[in-house]
Amino acid sequence: MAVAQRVNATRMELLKQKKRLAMAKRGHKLLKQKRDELMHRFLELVEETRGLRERVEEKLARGFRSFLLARAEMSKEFMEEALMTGASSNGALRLRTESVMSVWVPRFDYSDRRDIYAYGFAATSAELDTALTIFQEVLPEMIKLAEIEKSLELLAEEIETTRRRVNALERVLIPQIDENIKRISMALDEMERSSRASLMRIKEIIHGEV
Amino acid sequence: MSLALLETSFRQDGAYAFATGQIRALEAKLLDGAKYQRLLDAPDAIEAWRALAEVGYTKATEVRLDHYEQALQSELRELYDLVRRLTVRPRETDWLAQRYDFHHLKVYLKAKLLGEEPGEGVVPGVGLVPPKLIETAVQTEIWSALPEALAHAGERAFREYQTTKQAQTLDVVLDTELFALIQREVSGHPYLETLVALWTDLLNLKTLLRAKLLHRERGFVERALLPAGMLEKSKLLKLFESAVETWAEELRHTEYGELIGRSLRAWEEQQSLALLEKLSDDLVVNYLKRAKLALYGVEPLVAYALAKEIELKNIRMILIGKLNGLSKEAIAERLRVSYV
Amino acid sequence: MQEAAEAATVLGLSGQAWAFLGAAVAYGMAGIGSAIGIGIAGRVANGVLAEDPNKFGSLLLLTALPGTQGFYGFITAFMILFVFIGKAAVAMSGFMMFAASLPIAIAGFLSAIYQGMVCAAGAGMIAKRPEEVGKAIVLGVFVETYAVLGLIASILLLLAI
Repeated sequence: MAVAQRVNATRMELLKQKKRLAMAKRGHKLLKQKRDELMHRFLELVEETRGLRERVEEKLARGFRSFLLARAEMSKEFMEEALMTGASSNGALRLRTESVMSVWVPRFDYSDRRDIYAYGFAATSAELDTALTIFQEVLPEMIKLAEIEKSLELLAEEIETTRRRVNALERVLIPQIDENIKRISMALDEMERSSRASLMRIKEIIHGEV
Repeated sequence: MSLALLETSFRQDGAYAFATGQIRALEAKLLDGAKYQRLLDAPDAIEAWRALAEVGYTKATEVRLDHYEQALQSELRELYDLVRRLTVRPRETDWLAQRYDFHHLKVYLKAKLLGEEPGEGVVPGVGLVPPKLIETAVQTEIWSALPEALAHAGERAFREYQTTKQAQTLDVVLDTELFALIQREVSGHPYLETLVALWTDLLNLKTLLRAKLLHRERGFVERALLPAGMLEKSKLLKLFESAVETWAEELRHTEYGELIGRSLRAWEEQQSLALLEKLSDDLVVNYLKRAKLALYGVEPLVAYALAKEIELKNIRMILIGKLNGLSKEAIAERLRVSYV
Repeated sequence: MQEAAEAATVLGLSGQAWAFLGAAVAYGMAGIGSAIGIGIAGRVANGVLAEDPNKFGSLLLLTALPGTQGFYGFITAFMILFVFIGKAAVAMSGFMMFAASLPIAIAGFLSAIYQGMVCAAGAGMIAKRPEEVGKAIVLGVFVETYAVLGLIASILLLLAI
């Protein structure tokens, strides 16, 4: 309340403080709306991510199981040979950002031009096809999941800041301005009263002398 | 699985009498159903490893479970040392080891052409040709340093890769060349000829089914099919064109009708061709078992070598299954039938 | 007939020459057969022993089984040379002795080889089931029967001269 004590008890200042109060209240309302909207988006994404995460986890589990079985069917060396595809550079992942309620969230564009079954069929297990099919399916979903989870993180940060701002306005700034206004009005009233008292006194003196 | 239609005849070959005697004694040490059951009953991988030592794999006492791949690899190396020692006419058994030469050729070609690391893909001491020699030949593109068949295959694969630029080309070319070579090598041995034809058919059917399920085009299948065994290439291509549901019916008069039927049913239920692979191996093992009737000859030696390879596959399956907490039943249903 | 019986030679050979030939064929053929038979069974048995030396006891009997034909041939040869040689003064009797030696020569030769194969298979079987050694020997002995019958036939023929 240190600031409050320093304000000059003038009409000018009162007007200024009142203007500030109006602005703070408008800001508070807007920020509250923003917070609510962010929360809304956040919850939507949470809903989406929950389904996606479950799907990804289920697929990865199936994929790893298939891969495990393929690994059991083939010796280490034959597996190594089958997976020497040289195709690791052919998938393309591009990153851009997009604004959601002025939060910059990442967007990944993934394109896969690879032929994942780039091995001979005579020396490999069919289980490997299954595993790779699942992994290929799940990769874009994993990227999507990463995108959403990063967005969630960024949104959560933004929500937290907004919430803090709303709180600051609600609990600190607005009460403070209110206080200032009250103080100034009181001071002004006091000044008015004292000036009126002086006036009355002057009036008395003038009347007395006459 | 029945092999009713296949005839068996042996080329009695007294030169292999000693080899056969030793093989008969070694066959007694192969894992039978009861021994597999003991491994399966082990509560975890460590116990399974210990049980393995008890059923005759002494290497399991020498190395730790983490190094099971090395242990299996050295078993394989010993197997091929044995084959080399017991063979009387190398031409009759070399094709077993040549599979690994072709494998190494694939590894080094892929390393060179695709810029990958070859290290983990090499099985030292099993092939006929030292991997180093193959590596040098691939690096320098001087094929004449290699045995003729290998040189021819390597050169062809290298050339065809230049036009397609697909890693798969290397596999396809080398697999076809390898099976053409094996078929040439075993010709004149009725038992081995049938074995290789059976094996080729099973691989071709597997390729056909996988290509069908992955929606590959006909051109790919035409290239990927191995030189035909008992099933003609035209017959296989006709199968490929028809709906997969009709395959079992189409193959009814061959050894493979039941196999395809059961595998497709399993695919419908579990989206996995594991059963096809198991039944294929079982069919091969059941055919191999006929070598027990041979008095002597190269047949028991070849049968033992392949049976032992399948046994190593079974052991790997049990260990990997146990290490990853698969249930006893899940492992058991994938185990190949025992030779003994 | 009278003329032929009293002839000094049959097909240009004297009675004694025919008897010697008979003895040689009886032992030679049966002996070669036994050698081949033991060779077959022995090589398989060696292979088994290379992996499992403890089976020597059971394998010994199986490997020795094809050796009996050689003995039967030897017995026949012995009888011709030391018991019946006197009768070879008549050329036709000598010729008949040669004929009498053929059953053991042929049956011995072939049965020894086949017995060798049966014993080789038996050795392979013992490698896996050492407890079944009795059965392997019984099966080998079945072949032996015909070698014994060959020997008996030869002796009966000799006695009938």
